[in-house]
Amino acid sequence: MSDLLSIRGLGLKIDGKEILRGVDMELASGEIKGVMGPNGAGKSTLLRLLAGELQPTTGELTLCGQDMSERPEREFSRDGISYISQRPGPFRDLTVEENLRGAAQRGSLFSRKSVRGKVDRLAKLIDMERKTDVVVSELSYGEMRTLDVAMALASEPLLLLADEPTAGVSGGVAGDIVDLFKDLCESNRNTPFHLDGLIFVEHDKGTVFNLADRVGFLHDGRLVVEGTPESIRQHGVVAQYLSEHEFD
Amino acid sequence: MFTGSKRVLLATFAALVPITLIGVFPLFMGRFQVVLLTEIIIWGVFALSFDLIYGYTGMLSFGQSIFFGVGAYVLTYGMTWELGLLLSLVMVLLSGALLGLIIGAVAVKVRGAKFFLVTLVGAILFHLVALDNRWLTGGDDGLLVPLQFGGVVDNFYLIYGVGLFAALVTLVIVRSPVGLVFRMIKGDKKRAELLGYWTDGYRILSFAISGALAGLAGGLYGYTTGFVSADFFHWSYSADAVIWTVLGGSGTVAGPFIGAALLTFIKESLSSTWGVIYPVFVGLLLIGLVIGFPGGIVGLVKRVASWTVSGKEGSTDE
Ligand SMILES: Nc1ncnc2c1ncn2[C@@H]1O[C@H](COP(=O)(O)OP(=O)(O)OP(=O)(O)O)[C@@H](O)[C@H]1O
Ligand SMILES: [Mg+2]
Repeated sequence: MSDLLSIRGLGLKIDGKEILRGVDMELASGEIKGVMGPNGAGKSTLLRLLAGELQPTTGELTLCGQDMSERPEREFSRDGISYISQRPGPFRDLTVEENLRGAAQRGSLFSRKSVRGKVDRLAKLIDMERKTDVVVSELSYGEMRTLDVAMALASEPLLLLADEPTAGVSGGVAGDIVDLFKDLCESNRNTPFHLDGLIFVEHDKGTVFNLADRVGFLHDGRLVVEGTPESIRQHGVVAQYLSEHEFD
Repeated sequence: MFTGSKRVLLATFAALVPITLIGVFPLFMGRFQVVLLTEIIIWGVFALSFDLIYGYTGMLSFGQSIFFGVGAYVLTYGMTWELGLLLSLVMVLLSGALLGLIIGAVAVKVRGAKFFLVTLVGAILFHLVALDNRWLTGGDDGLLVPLQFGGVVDNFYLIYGVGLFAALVTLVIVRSPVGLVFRMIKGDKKRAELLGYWTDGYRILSFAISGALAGLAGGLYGYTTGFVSADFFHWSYSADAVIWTVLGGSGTVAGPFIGAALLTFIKESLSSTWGVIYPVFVGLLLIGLVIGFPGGIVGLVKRVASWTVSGKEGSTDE
């Protein structure tokens, strides 16, 4: 099966500081990839590059065989990449419904019926049908994060990038988000909001090893090791990191 | 959902009452009051044009006086060339929109606080150019606007109709999918871009619509006073639009009209000796508003209304 995403020698330098260096990564169709690493390793930066929010200084990035470097940010979303940033992103002054609609209407601005249908399905998916009229600033943190997920799904992406989507979210809701990701990735291609691939950053190793098919470990801007959860546990740097974060 | 449709009903009713009252106003009031109300409606349309770009799309532009002046002159020339009022007004709208596209395309490239400065400098520049080119604008002495009909009451109903039209069109736009994108851009431009929107395109569009409305206000004002001059380009018109909108409530269609009405009324009521304190009064009011009531008058009313509504429903719902 061909790769959904492939990056080669990806690097980013800001003010002479190398934040990412020579990262190679492949994501097969249907794959869920976890990204781990200590604070400041460059995990968020990697995702922002993949989302088009930042432009790499070196290397190349291809999605479904299509070269994505030098493309403006908005085209990443149009080409099937959705991104959930580390900080909650819903528009705080808008209601839940307006946020969902804003995310859902992009490709079909004036077909109100289909947009409304999609908004209803998304609200149902995240179990917020009764909160559609609530303004986002009145939501709990967990609800905002859940709304983030729904908004990212609204464009019916092939690939979802999620930066610590469950950090700071209470156990039950975090579990719901993880289950939703799993369901959407394992779902049949014709299921609404089916995902072809998922890359997520996570500190909680339980979540990473439970959800991911493969895990990459970033350290100091380098992808130190990448492999199945079982195999990377054995790796020296990873083993040390895991033992230091035993009680997270 | 239920509370949503109820709110729409309430808002419609709350809007229909003043609209009707204003409509019958000339039957009971004198000439002076009718003229004042006519001006208030024009200023409301003008403030609304600013509200679209600021209250809905989040751009603090000081360039509204440019469109105001251009609109006034396009109307004047339209009437001078005997195109008739309707066609002249259409030309005013089109030229305002076109100019909005051009100015918008330049302005959206400017980031942050500089945006405000660039639009202000642009406004001052247009004023100077208008003052200098007497052959076109008549400079300080201005030009007379040939009128189609002159009666105060006739003119009132003209402005009333056009004002209503402008408010309705704006309402439709801000409630449309495009209006939602405007509000998303105001909230977080980067995020809107990330969701796939060409935000600069939408901001330019917002400029164009706003330019058409501001031009319309300028044209109507010129038509009402029967006289236009380079002073129509003065940047203080931009400042007025800002203050009216913020006082009345930005990000609402009613707010700019309420703000314009209140301040125009206060300004008129002050005797000439007290007139000098008007700018000081407005300055203090603005500071008080920004600190105390960022939502303006409409925001205040909404808050009070939601207290009473939620108070009543709290017992039955959830
Ligand atoms: N725009 C920027 N300019 C300069 N340095 C930056 C910029 N963005 C990130 N960095 C630096 O790059 C490094 C990697 O940051 P990044 O946010 O990607 O780390 P992270 O792995 O996501 O960390 P965390 O686990 O805390 O979220 C950090 O040292 C950070 O200070
Ligand atoms: Mg991070």
